[in-house]
Amino acid sequence: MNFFKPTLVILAAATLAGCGNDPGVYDLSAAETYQRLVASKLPDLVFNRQCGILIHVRAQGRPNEQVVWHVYSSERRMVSLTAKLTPVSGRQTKVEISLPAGAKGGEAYDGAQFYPRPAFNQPLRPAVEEQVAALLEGRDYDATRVPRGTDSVCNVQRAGLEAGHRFRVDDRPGMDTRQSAACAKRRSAC
Amino acid sequence: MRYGNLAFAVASTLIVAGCVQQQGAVYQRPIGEAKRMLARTDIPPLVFGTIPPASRTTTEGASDVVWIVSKKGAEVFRFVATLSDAGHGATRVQLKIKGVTSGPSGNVEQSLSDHATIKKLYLTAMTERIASALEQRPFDLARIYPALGIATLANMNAIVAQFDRASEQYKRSSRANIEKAYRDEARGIDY
Repeated sequence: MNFFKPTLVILAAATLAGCGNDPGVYDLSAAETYQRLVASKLPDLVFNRQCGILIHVRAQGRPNEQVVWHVYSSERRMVSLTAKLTPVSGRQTKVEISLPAGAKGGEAYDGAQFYPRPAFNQPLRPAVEEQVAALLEGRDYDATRVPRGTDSVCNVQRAGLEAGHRFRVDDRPGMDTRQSAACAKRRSAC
Repeated sequence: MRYGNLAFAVASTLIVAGCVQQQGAVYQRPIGEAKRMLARTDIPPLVFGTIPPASRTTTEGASDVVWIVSKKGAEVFRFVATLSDAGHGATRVQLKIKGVTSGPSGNVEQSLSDHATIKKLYLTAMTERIASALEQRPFDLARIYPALGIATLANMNAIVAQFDRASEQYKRSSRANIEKAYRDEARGIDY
């Protein structure tokens, strides 16, 4: 009987693991997955994770294969987020998120990067994955599933935006848009 | 057992403080001098929040010193200290708190009755303010800790609800500011 115990444990674990999908696999066809993702401008991700600069998302895609969200601020591209779709079966699709490489190695907004005018708080990947999961599972974005942002520059600029200040990606260092514009008008060292 | 001792000590302190407030404490100062000193005394710090409300001190009749606490120009409640001669050059001070029954702050008298621990805290703090003034020593916050602790525990649900409300209000205002920033940007409104 003792001989069978490890086998039973392994069997039980395997059975329980089979109860849910693998991470990133959704019970939707590739076509439905694509439609949901390409139609979204990731509003919850933007609201929950944005910093001080205003950002706009434009989705672009290759039907049933890939969706890319380009994130702009003042018409400058800040970052692009890619979801690659791979059919697992006719009713299931695997979605893999990728972000571009970061200047300090790793990937963009991975928590180790520095941006003077960040578009998003870091780490960004878990928030993108949560936004995608919420869209594909048909539920609300759950901020509690995402680690808190650790980018202090973002936190400061976000607090400014929440208080009614606006920032542009090309503002002078340490200034909001109003201060930066006033400084430019004076044409002097500020 | 240690918690039992602590509870007993706190309860004893409050009972003694309650007796002092009811019968009035006696201070070794002539009544005229005590009255003059109290007329120059402010309400206690901290217990009404980090931003103290407006207050003014006045005297009424021969024996009362009154502290009128107001918010946005309207009275909320008042402390009334009634001074009487305790003999041998000493003065007895009996303190009461009276809330307004109508006005912008509503029926404060009823609220004070409903929240006895808060009422006790205010009276304890004002009693200490009077004592510190008449004994010419600094206000001792430690003397109001037991009442403060009891009031905090008794009103924890309300305190938490207040924080929740403040948090919700902050979230709403933050979202409104962010949405306005996007609307302004779309309209080409520069900041």
